[in-house]
This record gives sequence, structure tokens and C-alpha cells, in this order.
Amino acid sequence: MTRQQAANRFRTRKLSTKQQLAVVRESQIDNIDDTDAQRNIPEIETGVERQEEVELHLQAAIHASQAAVTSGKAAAVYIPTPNAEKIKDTQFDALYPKKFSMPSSYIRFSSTVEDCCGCPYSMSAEDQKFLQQYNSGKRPTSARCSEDTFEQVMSHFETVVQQKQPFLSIDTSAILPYEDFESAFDESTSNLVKMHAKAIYPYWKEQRLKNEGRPIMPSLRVRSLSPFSSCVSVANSDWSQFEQGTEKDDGDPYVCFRRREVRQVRKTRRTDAQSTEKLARLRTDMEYAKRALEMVLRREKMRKAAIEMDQKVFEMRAQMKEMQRKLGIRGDWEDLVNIKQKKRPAEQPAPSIQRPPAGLRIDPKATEIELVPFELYQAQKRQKLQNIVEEKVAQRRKLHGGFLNGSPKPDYTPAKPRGYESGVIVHLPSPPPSVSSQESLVEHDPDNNFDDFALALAPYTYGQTVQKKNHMWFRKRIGRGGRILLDRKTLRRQPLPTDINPYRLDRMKHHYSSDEEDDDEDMIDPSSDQNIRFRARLLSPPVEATHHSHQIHRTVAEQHRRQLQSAAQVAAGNQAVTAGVGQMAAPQPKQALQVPKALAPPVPATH
Amino acid sequence: MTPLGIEEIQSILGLLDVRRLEMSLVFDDELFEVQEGPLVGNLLADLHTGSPGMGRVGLCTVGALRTDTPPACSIGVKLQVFHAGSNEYREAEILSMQTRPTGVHYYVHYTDFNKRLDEWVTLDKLDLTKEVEWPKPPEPPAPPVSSSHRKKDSISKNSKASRPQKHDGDDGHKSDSMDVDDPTPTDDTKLQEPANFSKEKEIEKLRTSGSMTQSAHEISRVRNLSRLQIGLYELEPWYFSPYPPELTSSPILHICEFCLSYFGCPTRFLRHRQKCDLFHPPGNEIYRDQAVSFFEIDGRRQRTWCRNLCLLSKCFLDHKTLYYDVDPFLFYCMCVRDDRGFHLVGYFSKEKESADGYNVACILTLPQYQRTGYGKLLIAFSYELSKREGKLGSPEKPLSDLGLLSYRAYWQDTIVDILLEQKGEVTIDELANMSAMTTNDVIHTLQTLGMIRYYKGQHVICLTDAILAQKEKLKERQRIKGKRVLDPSCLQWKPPVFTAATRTWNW
Repeated sequence: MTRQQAANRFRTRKLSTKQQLAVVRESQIDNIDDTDAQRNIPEIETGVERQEEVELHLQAAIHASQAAVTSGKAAAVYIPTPNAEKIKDTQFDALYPKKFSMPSSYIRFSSTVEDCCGCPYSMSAEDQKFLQQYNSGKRPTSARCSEDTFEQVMSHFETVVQQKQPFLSIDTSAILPYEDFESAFDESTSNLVKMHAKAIYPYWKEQRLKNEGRPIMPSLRVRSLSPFSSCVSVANSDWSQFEQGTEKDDGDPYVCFRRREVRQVRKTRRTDAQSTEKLARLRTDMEYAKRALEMVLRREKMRKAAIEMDQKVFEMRAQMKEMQRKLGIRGDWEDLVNIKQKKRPAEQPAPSIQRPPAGLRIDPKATEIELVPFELYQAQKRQKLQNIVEEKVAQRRKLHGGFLNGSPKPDYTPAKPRGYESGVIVHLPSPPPSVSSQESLVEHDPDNNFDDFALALAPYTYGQTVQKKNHMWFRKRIGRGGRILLDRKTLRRQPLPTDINPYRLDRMKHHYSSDEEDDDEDMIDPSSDQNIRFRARLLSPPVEATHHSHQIHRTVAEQHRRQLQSAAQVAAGNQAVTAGVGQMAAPQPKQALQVPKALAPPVPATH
Repeated sequence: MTPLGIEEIQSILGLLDVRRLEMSLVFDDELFEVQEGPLVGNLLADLHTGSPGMGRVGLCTVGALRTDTPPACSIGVKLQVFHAGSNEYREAEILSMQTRPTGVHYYVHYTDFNKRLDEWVTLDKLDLTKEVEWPKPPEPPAPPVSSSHRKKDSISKNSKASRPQKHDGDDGHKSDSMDVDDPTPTDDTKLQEPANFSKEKEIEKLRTSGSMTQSAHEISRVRNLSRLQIGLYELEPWYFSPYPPELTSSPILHICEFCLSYFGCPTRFLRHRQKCDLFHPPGNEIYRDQAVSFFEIDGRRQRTWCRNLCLLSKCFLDHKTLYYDVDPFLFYCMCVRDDRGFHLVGYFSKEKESADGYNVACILTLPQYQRTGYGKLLIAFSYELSKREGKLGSPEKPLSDLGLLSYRAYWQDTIVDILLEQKGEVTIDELANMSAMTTNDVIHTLQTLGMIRYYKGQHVICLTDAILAQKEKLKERQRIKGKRVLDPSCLQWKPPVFTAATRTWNW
């Protein structure tokens, strides 16, 4: 018990910040334990520098407040400070006009000082004197230089020289000549500045040199150049280059606001690198956009200038006209009108040498030269065929040696053109051998002469399917007066008209070919129901169109085929006539049906 | 020793200007009569050897104080100087001298006075009838080698010296102080060094407080601006501030109250005012009540303005350093309003991210608004922000004398207010959380107020009668004069967040 009391008495517990402490009034406790109270509380420094802590006034103030706390004596002791007094400046209202109106909401603001202060150069008393002198000689007030313009000019000089000669203060001998400033004018430079800059330049130069090449407006020394003691101002100078080796300015109290040492950059994370890249790209894009806009601006300005010039010219002309009228001068009308000089057409490359690539527009002249007239082409073709036929005939004559051929393959003389020629005229070579009515029952060897000939003539090899015996053939032909005649096979052929509607033709071919499958081997009775129906259909308008589309693409081939077939038919007709034996079992008299031209049915093509 | 002829005296006082010669001679003659030979002998000997009795204590003539370059150097001399403010002679050290048209002026620092009371005095304020203390020799006489040694040393000192000041920001003071700790040059001078300008002391300062004035650099020991005009007021600056050196020669430095730009030439200033269309600190207003507004300004976004603010505040803060730029700080500016705009009253800066948990880096009420309760309001606001952040905060050290007093007053007021509300028991942590003060500051306050008592084997917090009485008195005064208080509901503020990229790349 006593021991514990002693411990309590002599070893106070440490003061913990988590310990619950009773808040009491002084009257509630007696002061017996007081001397021990402070013992185990760590002494806490005031936070004032030790050397200053001993300062007289501070000590006095501390003592005074201590006294106030302990004994209740209130003594207001102040630390003396130098004076601060209100000025009695009558200019004050001019300096700080009462023109601020308080917004009702909290202010949000992000413009910088530079944004808010206009032209960074402010003129001194000396500048004003110079300006007065400069303006005094100028009569028209418009030629005078305003204070604002003057400041802009000076500001221009200062900015440009800072950019181009940041270290002018080291060597002032090579200060920029005026021309360099003039070339630095850009779009934003006002005309007034351009007007006065040259005259102000000598004054600026003098001022700058007087300042030993340093900016005329005093500027902060942010760093010094290491080998020299002179300092360079902040504005627009490129830092990084001089960041190193600035040890020497450490001692210069006027050098301030150094850049902090760059913090250790983390080993580049990918995202960091990416975002840098993105930002860089964004920046270049923005710069492109900016440049483009600048170009647009320039273009528009030029356009405007051109328009203004035009207007001027016009006005001058109007004036001139007026004068001419007044003075009775008969001027040349050419003076009054813009004579547009026609541009000489650019020389075209010779078409024969350079063929434009497919897909490009072809010079019509060039193709005109290239193209062979249709008639000529036809004649050539005809000639070619003629040649072949004649050759064959000659060959055969030679073969026969002057004897008449009595064999089933008679001699052949090429058909003479008919009385009228329309459409394609094809001279066919020897027809297939005439077949007797008996023979007609026998299947023919497909490799007969005719087929040979057909092959020799035709560009395509559809010859095998060209001729099928026992088929009924119908032909349409156009007679005199535009009549359309439908012929049966045995009749003498007329040259085919060229204007056959390929669609119809295809359609009919389709129907026909499907029929053909069925009664391929049968004898065809022209008077049978089927045939009659077929013929009737030939003359009727098309009923269904569903099969058209997929056959359109064949039409070109069909046309060729048609030509060939018609030729074959002509030959066959001829043969039939000469042999006196029709292909049909029972030769029919000519059936010519008259149909109106508009409904002209196509020739059913065969396969 | 036989009295000297006038030629000899003239040779001793070689640098006297002709106009002042006669007066000086008369003055000197009296001195010689009193002191007879030895002094003059000493002086002559000093002149011949090249050092005017350095490190010694003795009487001095005005002639010896005429030059500011060795051998006969007046800089560093300690002597009695008449201080007009306290109306008495006080010990002072000459920090600089200047020859002006009106005669030679000396810049003196009074011992045990704050540097802000340093001043320029004329020759007649110096008391040469008492003994003076010559500055210690920079180095034992081994001229060429040692002097270069000394120089190097002082450079390295300077380079360290300028940094550890309290700037808005401060990394690695401690490691710096270790670098400086180079014992070799100090060893041989140790014995002869008097107290005034010692390397040892500086190192000691570095060790203990991590902070040191720029005193090592002679230029910055001397106030460089004579007067400031800002808004409606004209101020005397207290300390050196690195405004462009060209401006130090102008009698008044004009400072635009809104953008804080500085102009030596009145015409320039007038022209600037015509162009400047700023009416408030260039940032977001985060607090507004009947009396004041607060603006938050980012040092990175408003570099120029914040630099200007720092230059201005350096005039009144000794421990502020402008060595580094303002980027990592936010500035909270308190303004009063009228129809001319928002007038800056005071501000505090705050690190965007403080490793040491400081909620204030530098804090200043402009002199024209001091002693009117604004300082306390500023401090209160800084703690209000800490409350919003949910953090405990403390001002960065070192505090100035005025700073200490202000903070102590605020702490006392706050703690006592909380305790008066509090019924029953309370822990220090709870007090800290309620006030957003660090526990250290709470204990410190309780301690200086003598409120921690030991009663019946336990610590208790005792609201003493004296404290209660003081509180009553304060209330009475506030009732009459009106109290400046903050209304937390007027604070429209969210703690700013800085992204990783900001921190890494210092964007």
C-alpha cells in the first residue's frame, strides 16, 4: 500500500494520447501534485528557430502571455514591426477605379496574369518623353503613334529578341538588326505596329543597350548562365539546355524559382508510354489543323484582296469612261473589259503511242482513228469468207480434175447474193450432201462435210449440235413492204433480218428445246397438234417472262449461232430444192403467214 | 607616443571625402586626445600589416569604418548603436555600408532583435566611445592558400545555406546538413571564433532545426527594397526579397494590388493599371461570407501570379525561400471586398501533398492588416480545410516569432472552447480530431497553458481560473469589437486530387 503510494508519488505515468483525461476546474483539485505534473510530458519545441527564440520581443510576448495564463494579468505585448501606413494619394481613384461589380455566385476563374494584363510592355516616363518627341513632328493625327501602339512595338522587339538572342546580355555587339524584326511580323501584327516599328527601333536599341542587353522591363532572374554571371529572364527561353550546371547560381540570392529536380521517372510503363504517344499524336494533329486553318485564312485574305483589286479596277475604268466621255476621246474598248486570255490546251500525248488504261475516258478522236467503219468491216469479213470458199472450190475442182462430180457430194457453187441485201449476208460453203427420202431415215454421221465447213467458218465450236435431222424448221423473213413471213424449212431461204428481238428468240428456243427432248427420234408431223400449237405460239405475244433473265447473257452467243444456222438453213434449203427431196417426210407447200410487224416472232433457234 | 601630424591622420583616413574631412578630423582629434597613443599606434600597425586588429576587442575610429573592403573592413564589426525605437544604445552588428550623397550609411542588425528591425543608420548613431568587437579573422594568417580554402568553403556553405530555408517545399534538409559537416576547416579557427559569425553555429543550426537563414550570403542579409506601395498602403519591407535587382534602386516599388506585378517607375505602373483588368486573385472562390472571401490558386496554373505573391510575401517572411518554383503548392488567399475589387489581406500556401502532414507551408497577413484578427482567421481556415480532408495538420516549421504567437493564440482559443463544451473525460486524440490539430500541438498548447495537472495518480486537464478569466475578457472584447469567425457552410470546396501523372511528371 505504502509502496504503491510512493510509486504514484514519485513516478508519474507517461501521458498517453489515448488516455481519458478528466476535465476539471482549478477549484476541484489541490495543487499538491503540481510540481510533478510536467515531469513525464515530453518537452515540445516551440517551432521557432532557437536563435530567434531568444529574441527580446518574442520573449517579452511569451512571458506576457504566460503571465496572463498563470496569474490572469492581461498584458498585451506586441512584437514591434515596421510601419505600414495609408497613402494619401489623390491618384488613387485613377489607379484603382471603383468599377468592380460583385457577382452573386462564387467566382470561378482560370485566366492567367498574362491574359489579363494586355500588352506586357508598359511604357516608362522616358518612353513617354520619346513618344511625345516622336509625335510632335507629325501633323496629321493619324500618323501619330499612340501609347498602345508604342507598347506593342516595344513588346514585339522584346519578345523577338528574347527568342532569337536569349543571351544578348553576354555580347551586345551583335544585336538584331531591324530587318529581323520586320520578318518576324505575323498575321496578328497590326498595321499600326508595322508602320511605326522602324522609327522606334533605334530608340529601342538604345534602351536595350543601355540596359546591357537585358530586357528593358526588369525581369526576374530565374537562373544564371553558368560560365557568366549575367542572368537571363524567364520569358520564352528554352530551359532544359541550361538546367545542368546551375551550381554556380546557388549563391546568388537574386536567382529564384528554380525548377525542381525532376523527379525520378518510373521505368516507363506501357500505359504511360502509350498516353505520351497519344498526346504527341494529338498535338501533331492539332498542329496540322492549325496550319490548315492558317492556310485557309491566307487564301481568304488573298481572295479578298483580289476582289478589292477588281473593284478598284472597275471603279477606275468607270472613271476613265467618264473622262473619255467628257473629253470626247474614243478609247479602245479593250481597256474597259477584262480580256481573258484563253489557256492553251495542254498538249495531249499522241493517242497511238499511249493507250489510256481501261476505265479511263478515251479521247473520241483517238478512237475514231482506231475504229474501222462498219461497212468496211463487213466487206472485209465477206471478202475473207469469199476467199475461203473460193479456195475450197478451187481445191475441189482440182481434185475432180475437170470431171463432173456425180457423187452424193456434188460440186458447189457459191450462192450469189440475192436481189436485196439486208442484215448479215453469209455465203455458205458446200451444203451437206443431199439425202434421199430413204436415206433420211438413216442417222447421219455427224462428221459430215457440212459440219466440217461450219466448223471452219464458225468462230465457236457449237457445230456439233447445229444440225439435227427430222426437225421442223421455221424461219421468219421480212418481205417487201415490211411483211414478216414465217417459212417452213423446205422453202427457199431469204437472208435473215438483223433486228430480231433476242429475248423472244431465247424464250422460244427454250420452249422448243424442251419439246425437242421429248420427240427427238420421232418423225415430226407438221400437222400434228403439237406442231400446230407451236406455230400458233410463235405468233402470240410472250406469256411468261420468268425464263428471260437467266438467258440474257447468252444472247451474244445466240446471235452468232443464229447467223450460222440461218446460213446452214439457206444451204439446206438450196440442197433440198436441188435434190428435190425435202427433209420432211411429206414436203409441205409453202406456208406463209402474214403477221403484223410489231408482233414479229423470233426465229426459233435450235441447238 | 607623440601626437600625429595632420598629414599622417589624413593618410590613415585616406578614404575621407573632402567635404566631410574637417568634421571628421575634429571628431577624430577629440578621440585621439582621449585615447592618446596606443589606439593610433594600433591602427597604424594594422594598416601596415593589413588587418585592423581582427578578432580583437578594442576602440575604433570612424576612419576604420570607412571602407567595406579588407584590410580595414567595417562589415561584421559589433558596436553600440542608438536604436530610436527603444530609445537606447544597443549592441549591433554592421552588415553593410553605403556611401550616399548625405554621407556614409551603415546597415545594422541589433543583437536579440528580429531582423525586421535592422536598419540603415548614419555615422552619428554609432557610439565609438565604447569598445567595439572586430569580426573574427576569416582564417589564421596564412594568406594565399587559406583564403582560397575559405572561399571554397563558403561557397559550399552558401549553396547549402540558401536551400534549407522554409520554402514552400523542402526535401532533404537533413541529408544536406550532413554534407556540410566537414570538420577540417573549422578545427583551426575554433578557438578564436567569437559567437557572431561562426560556421559551427550554422552547422549546429542545420542539425537542430533543419533551417538556416541566408545569413551566409551578405547580400541577402540586407533588406534590398526601401518601400513598397500596394493598393492604398505604403509598407516598409522587413526582409530581403529577390525582386529584379534593377528595381532595388527605385525609392518606391509599386505593386499592382490585383495581379501583384511590380514596377519601379510610376509611369509604368500607371500604364499597367490602365491595362490590367484583374479584380481578384486569379482562381476559384471557395469561401465567401459577409466579411471575407477565400480563393484557391494552383501554383502550376497561375505561375506568374503565385511567383509575384511569393516575392511579395518574402518581404515579410524571413524563413521563406524562393529557391524553387511554386508548382507544388496551392495558395489560399483571403480577400476583403469593396467596389474596387478583392483586396488581398493574407494568404497561406499549402503543399499539394505533404509528406510530413503539414497543412500550411507559409502563412502571412500583409502588414497593413495585421493585428486585426485576420491572422487567426487564416489559421482557422487552414484547419477548416484539414477538417474537410479528414486529416490532422500542423504548420511547417520553423515558425516565425509572430507566427508562433498567432498559432498559440489560436490553439489556446480552440482548445479552451472545446474543453468548455466538453463534459466528463476526453482524450488528447479526441481533442486533436475535433480541432484537426496534431496531438503534438494539442499537448504543446495544454502544456504552455499549464493545464495538464497530476492529481491523485492521474493526469487531468485543468481549466485554470486565469484561463477562464482570460476567456471571459476575450469574449467581452469580441462582443464590443466583433469577432471574425468562419462559417464552414460557406466553404464550397473539395480536397483537390492530383493524378498519378501529375505526381510523376509534375504536370
